[in-house]
Amino acid sequence: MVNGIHVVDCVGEENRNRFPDNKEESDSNVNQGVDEEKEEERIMEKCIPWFPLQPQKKRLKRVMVDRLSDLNDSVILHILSFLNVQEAVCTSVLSTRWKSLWTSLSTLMFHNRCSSKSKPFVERVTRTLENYRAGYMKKFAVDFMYNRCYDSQVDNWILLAIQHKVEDLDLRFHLCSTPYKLPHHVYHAPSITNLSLLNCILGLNGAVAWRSLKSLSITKVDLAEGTIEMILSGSPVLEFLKINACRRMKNLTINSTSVKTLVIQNCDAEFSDLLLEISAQYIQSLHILGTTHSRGFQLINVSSLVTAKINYYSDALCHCAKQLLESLHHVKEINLGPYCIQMLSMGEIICWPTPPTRWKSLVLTAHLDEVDTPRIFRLLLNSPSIETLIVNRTRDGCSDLLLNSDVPAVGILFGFPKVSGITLLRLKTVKFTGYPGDIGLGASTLELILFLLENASTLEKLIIVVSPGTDYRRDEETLLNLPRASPHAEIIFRRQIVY
Amino acid sequence: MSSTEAKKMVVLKSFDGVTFEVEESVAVQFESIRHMFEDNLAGSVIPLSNIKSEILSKVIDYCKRHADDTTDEEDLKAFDADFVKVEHGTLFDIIRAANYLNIKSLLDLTCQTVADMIKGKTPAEIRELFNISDEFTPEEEEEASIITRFIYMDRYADC
Repeated sequence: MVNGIHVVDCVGEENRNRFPDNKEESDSNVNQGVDEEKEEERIMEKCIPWFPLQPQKKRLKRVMVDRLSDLNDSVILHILSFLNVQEAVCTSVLSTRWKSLWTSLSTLMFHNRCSSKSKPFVERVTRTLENYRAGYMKKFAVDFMYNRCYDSQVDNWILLAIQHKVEDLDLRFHLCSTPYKLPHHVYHAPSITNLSLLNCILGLNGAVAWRSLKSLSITKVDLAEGTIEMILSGSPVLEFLKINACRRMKNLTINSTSVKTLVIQNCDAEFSDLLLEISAQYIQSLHILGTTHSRGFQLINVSSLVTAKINYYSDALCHCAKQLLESLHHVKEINLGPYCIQMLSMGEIICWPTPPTRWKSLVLTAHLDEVDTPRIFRLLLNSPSIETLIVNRTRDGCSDLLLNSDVPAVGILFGFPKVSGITLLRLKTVKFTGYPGDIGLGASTLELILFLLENASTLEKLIIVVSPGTDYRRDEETLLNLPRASPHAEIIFRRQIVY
Repeated sequence: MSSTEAKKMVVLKSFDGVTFEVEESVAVQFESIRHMFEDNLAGSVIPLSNIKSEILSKVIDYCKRHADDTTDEEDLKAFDADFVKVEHGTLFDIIRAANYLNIKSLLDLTCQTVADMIKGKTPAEIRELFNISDEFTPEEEEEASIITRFIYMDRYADC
């Protein structure tokens, strides 16, 4: 075994250099048995007639070592689990070794977004499942253009997945005239740990018994009266709940002690109240994301929160942003998006009456223009505990709503307030991403950086992430010459990694 | 662990006889041999008789980097991306080592790399890439192609 590895490598090495161009080079291994090769070629072409092989490259195949097929089954299955089922099943024609490996796959993921191909897709899933042999299914995922005529097949897939004790069930139905109605056995499947649904109808007539369910993600699911309550009461170990673009989303009360993370995304006011109240005293992480048309959020009791990400966009000006931030002043890590930052200069926020925040880590996604920067400045002044500040510059999203509105408070924050005394006593790390290569940092960002360098006396690192090929020399020169309050502060321009 | 306290070391020996001294905080990532140094066998040499020194050194390098809390997430990604840019032979040796030592994140990283190489390729191209020789009997071939034929038809049809 040990020697085997060694020898194998030498052979591999020796031939890698020749492969594939120097095919004329003589080699006793290569030239032996030309007839055998022709036979082999014939078989291969017969095997997969729709893939003509490239005969000129085949000649050296024999002496090369197949390290992939040498791996044991569990490792190959692990590799296959990173492919979609289609690609995994395709490997069955590679060789005898591979023929039935895929039937033991524990992860089955099927995707097809082309509506004209739905029928063959559905047949393919059905036939693949007919050949499926594994005793236990870790994950079953389908993502396709659904139509009601496939109901019985889809029901059967799900039944089979449940019979195989599926842990992760991920059902995404697109463009359906009518959403897919989940079959009854789903509500009592004890093995389901992660459930993800898109465009499904939850027909909860009786109780739910998801005793293993840890993560539930529902998108475009109609939330009839009592649905969430029924789910919560039937899922004793649920930790993660995501509600995305669900109609009839009402005020949310989560009393479950197990739920730690709540994600609300694309929450419209359609068929419900303008203000969504969220009361969840045990959750530790809250995310409000996406777009919400004319809807605001109010947090009633979120005393256990540790992290919050408020990065949603609305087409309306909303006074509740300030209140929202006030109810988050106790969290350790906070992440704010452009809209939320814009709303900060609304109305009475100018005289921020709240106690200072206890934020230790602040992540901001902002436009960083002359209107935005003073707002960030305000936030910093009110957050003396901050240790890490990350500012992601973005050009996405809205133009500044306040600039084009009649709101009286506009303009009050333009310009930097004078600072008395040092406020940023704990700030150690600052990072700016989204460096605009064409214009450089710009005056307002430089002003913010100057403020940070002058006031953060414990600053260790100020990192500016730049994309490869960007010319940042001018900014680098400017920054390196700025005065710094911290003797240990390092200014680093770091190249962004591109994959 | 305070910096003054002597760090507990674990000694690993590759199959070609090279020994590596590794901090225990790094070696704990080797799930399958964890019990050997945690069972109060400090100081003794743990033989890894099926891992070459060249590969073991890479694996230790990986685990050191991943055990370091101060490493930036982006740096770690860049390290991972570089780490798998190796010849096939080395990559498969690392996979075997990761599997043997049960280092989940390394096994995921390397298996994902191989999966990415397979993605989007025809069986002929996959065989070519990994030197898979095809030794089907006619019956097996028929069976395999019945199952897969409809998938190919679909996959290469216009969509």
